Amino acid sequence: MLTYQEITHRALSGPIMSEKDYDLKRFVRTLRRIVKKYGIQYNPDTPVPWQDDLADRVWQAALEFLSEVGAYCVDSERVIEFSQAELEQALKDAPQDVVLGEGKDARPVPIRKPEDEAPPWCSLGAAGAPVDSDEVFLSLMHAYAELPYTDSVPTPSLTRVNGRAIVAGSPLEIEGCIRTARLAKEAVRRAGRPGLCIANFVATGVCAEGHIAGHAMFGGPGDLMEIGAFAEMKTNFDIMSKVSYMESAGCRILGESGPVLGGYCGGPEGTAVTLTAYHLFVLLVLRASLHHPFCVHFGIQTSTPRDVIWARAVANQAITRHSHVPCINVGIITAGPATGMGLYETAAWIAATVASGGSIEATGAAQSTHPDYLSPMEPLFAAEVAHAVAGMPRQEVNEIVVKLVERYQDRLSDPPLGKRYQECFDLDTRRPGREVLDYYLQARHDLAEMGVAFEDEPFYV
Amino acid sequence: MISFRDVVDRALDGPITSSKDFDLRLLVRTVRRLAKEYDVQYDPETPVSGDDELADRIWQAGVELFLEVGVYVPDTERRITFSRDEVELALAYNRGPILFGSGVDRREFPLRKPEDPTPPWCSLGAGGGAVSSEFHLLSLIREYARNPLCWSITTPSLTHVDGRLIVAGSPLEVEGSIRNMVMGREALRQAGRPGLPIVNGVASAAHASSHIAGAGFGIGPTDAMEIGAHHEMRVDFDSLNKVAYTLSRGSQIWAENGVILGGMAGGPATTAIVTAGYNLLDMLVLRGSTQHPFPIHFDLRTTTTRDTLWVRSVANQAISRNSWLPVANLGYVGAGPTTEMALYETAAWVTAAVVSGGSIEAEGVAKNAHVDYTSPVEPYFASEIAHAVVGMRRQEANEVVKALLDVYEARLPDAPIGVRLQDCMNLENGEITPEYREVYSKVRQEMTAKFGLEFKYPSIYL
Amino acid sequence: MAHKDDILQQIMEAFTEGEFDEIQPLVQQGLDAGLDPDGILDNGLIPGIREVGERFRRSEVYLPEMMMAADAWQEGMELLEPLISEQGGKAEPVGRVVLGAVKGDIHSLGKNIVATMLGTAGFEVLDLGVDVRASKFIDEAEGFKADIIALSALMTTTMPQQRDVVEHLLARGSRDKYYVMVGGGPTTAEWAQEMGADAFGETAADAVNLALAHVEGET
Repeated sequence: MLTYQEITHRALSGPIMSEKDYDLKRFVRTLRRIVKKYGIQYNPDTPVPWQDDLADRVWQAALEFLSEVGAYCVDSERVIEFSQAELEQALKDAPQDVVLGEGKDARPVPIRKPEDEAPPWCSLGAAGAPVDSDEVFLSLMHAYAELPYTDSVPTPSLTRVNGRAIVAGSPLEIEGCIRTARLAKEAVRRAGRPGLCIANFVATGVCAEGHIAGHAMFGGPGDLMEIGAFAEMKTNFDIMSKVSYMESAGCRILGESGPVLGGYCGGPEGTAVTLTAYHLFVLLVLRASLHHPFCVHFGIQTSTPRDVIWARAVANQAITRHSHVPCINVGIITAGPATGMGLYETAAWIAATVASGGSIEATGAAQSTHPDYLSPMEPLFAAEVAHAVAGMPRQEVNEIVVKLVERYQDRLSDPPLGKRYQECFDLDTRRPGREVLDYYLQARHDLAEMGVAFEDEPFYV
Repeated sequence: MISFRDVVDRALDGPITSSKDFDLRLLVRTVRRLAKEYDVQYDPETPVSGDDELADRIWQAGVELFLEVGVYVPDTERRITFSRDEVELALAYNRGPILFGSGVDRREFPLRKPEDPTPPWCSLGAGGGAVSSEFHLLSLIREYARNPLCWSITTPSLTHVDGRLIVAGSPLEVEGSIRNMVMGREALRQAGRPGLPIVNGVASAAHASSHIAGAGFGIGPTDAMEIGAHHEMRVDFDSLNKVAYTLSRGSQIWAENGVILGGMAGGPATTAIVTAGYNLLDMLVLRGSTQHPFPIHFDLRTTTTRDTLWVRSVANQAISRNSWLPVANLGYVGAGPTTEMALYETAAWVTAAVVSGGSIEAEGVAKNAHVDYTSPVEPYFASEIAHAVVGMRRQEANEVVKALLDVYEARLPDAPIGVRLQDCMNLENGEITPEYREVYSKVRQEMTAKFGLEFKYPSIYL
Repeated sequence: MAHKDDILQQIMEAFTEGEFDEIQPLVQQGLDAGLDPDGILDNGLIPGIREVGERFRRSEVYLPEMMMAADAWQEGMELLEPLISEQGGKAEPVGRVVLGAVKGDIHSLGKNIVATMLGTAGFEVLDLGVDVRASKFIDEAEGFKADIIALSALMTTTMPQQRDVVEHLLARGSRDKYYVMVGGGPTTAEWAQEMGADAFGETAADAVNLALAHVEGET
């Protein structure tokens, strides 16, 4: 694989181009041409397609696409170009047999394929969604770490330090990041799992110094730092600096990519190709050990509209059929906790993703924009569904997902907000109240009726 | 003392002021008025002042300046202001002994006064000067540490990573900062002084992200981070972020102020007041364990001009007579390695600083403007001078410094830059060239013969 | 009312004594007394600010005086320029300069000195501030119709960004349109040559002299 020094060199000396030209002349035009060339077409009736040929065409399209457009460094206003051979080599040289966590909590991340029977990796938590206080943060993280299927825990992001709103770039962010790291470690210790991998170690961080400060203080070798690109195929010095530090610190990187359906990617087809191309981008530019796909809709800004589910499913199939690097997909649901809708949304994107070969990180709720509107119930349910659908044929999963989407799609633009964590769970005992438990049991029942065979009895009962 | 959290709150909530208004309406006008009110006037005949009352007036003026203008935060365009009670409380704070280093190299930073018989702290380094390779860095630091009078080091800064020029803000800066730190620590280990404190380990860092990244590889609770204000009386988020991290880490801070004589601080009198005012900024905002000033001439870019010597002298006296936050003076000379002039300049500023109550960090040479133009000899010589002038009366020191100025002052605009490190020292074993040994020996002898300075210890270079 | 010549003398004294707040009122007084706007400019403001510039060069006054003098000049010109234009005259600048500290560099003092001195030497200066990316220098130079792009870098690690500006100019095919000057602590004449600049100014005064020489066709 190209070294990171070489990537840096290309970022500093590649062809000069304005950002606007990169976006419109290079990215958009090339993507449209390639989607057409490979005959990639979205079918709304199959949010979970099962045609391997489609997946393979998406893969080929992605390779060709990235070799033509490259990546863009906003600070140097230059393109980082790659040849197709370099992309293929990067895949060959990508990390193998990734183990996360430490001591008794260390476990290998499974390499899955579509319809794989192997259970997916379940990273259960807030996926970076906001919380307002240390108290909620600690209780929530503790609750996530206690769930039976938790393989790793992503942190929420703190919005306040001692009641004061964090201002990005200010010393409050530094304190927020250090505190996030410290409290996360304490939470998993309380759950009796001190070595559990913390999968987005400093979600509170915006700037490189915040991320680095948090990791330098409390990061461990079994943790993961999430570092992302921004739309689309872009990086900057701040991101590159984080990568540089993490490489030296020996911290594995979860390479996040969140293409926006309806943005430069265009529709579902372009989004699927872009998401697939990001798989190689994160290996080379972000030095990731794992890919963290995160697909959102431009208007609704969550992961559960039908076309987004399709794009993610196709991309996961494309990737997992050709790469040994696992995808730990992250999703955001539109509805909030203590709503039935939130659970159905969760089940839909999870089932589609797992059947397509992916692993999961679940889940931000209430569009991840309302502080404290989170609960452990949705991540728990996500993991239960994920384990249940592992090994099911995609065609069968498609039917389930169609039924689920039909239950909530009309409410996506006006979803129920639900309740805050402290309103539907007990902060001290971390147990659910009656209302949220009822929703959970109902959702389990409904999915069982659709054909989902849960492995275990309900956890909270 | 009020908490750092309160300081941060004030950075976010304090009175809104434009950058230009802060400089021209607040800072400049206030300091000029105070210079008149407190009768602070520059005397070119006393580059080392012996006037205690002048020192105390400068201190008072500095306090008033700090109270009236506060500290400007460009990111929020607001001022951090403090009340008189808060300042008095801070000055009354019982800090306890200021300790750096570990094991056999653990020492207490002295709180000295003018003409103090206590030896000063001598920190050695290149003033953050740039070297072209890690092996230059390794070699230099090893040589600094060979000096028994060296009680801490600062690292030079790297310009290249694997042959590639470091670009500020890019990942090369992060990598450069990490290497700075790692090689610095290794150099101390090689010198047999692994516990020697590093007080600026990431000189290559321009941004907080690199600073923090590098510090993560070698700065511990017994070391320090160097964190600076910007001229004048300004502190940005980048600096505050470094402070936030360092406090959490438990390391200490050398609070740097590069006060520019001829910049917004104006002439010598007002620059002295600003330097004194910085002591409170360093205490309250940068949370320093030392104040680390270098009053520098804006045009000649040295701290060895007559007026900057005067500023340093009176400011050190003002601060050491009135504050618990000690001064670790940093110096920059105009001439470069192997020149006699560099050694004369060094002797001048070090003498002025030490007899005025300060400690030292020596030093950038050749105006810090030329890569590799540095050597361990000038800092070594600085430490010898520092110990030699301990206990000297200011009046006597003034005569010494004036005589030194007579030798070099006229040449400052066109100071000889000397030669590079690798041209005057063997990088493997630290041996200096015979030519440099001769220059060094000559000047050292002159210090005794002409100025009566008695060197307390034999030289490692002779 | 003061005699007309006295007013011009008072303007000069206000500059040299550092009483900058008095300059605009004095200019107004001069106009009220019937002095010609061109005359106030040529015999009051220009000699006054030049004297401050000279004292600055001799280190008799410092940056604050330079900046306050420049502000006072500007305030005076706000009164004079409309009248000069009305009379058919126009105070044309000797040249136009776009100036700033390059990307990643937040040091402003040296740049501010150069900007002020260029202004007092008759240039129209667009100061882009600090941490300016390469493309912005060029975009602004085009809009401003600059003759000169002046790049400041105070750290060895921001110097490469000076070269980046030249590379951007080459990429756009605009290299020949601008005279590129560099300066700042670690920069040297050798560096300027290596990176493709037209000139290196070691001091602020050098920068002004080089700029003047360029617009006068001597470079």
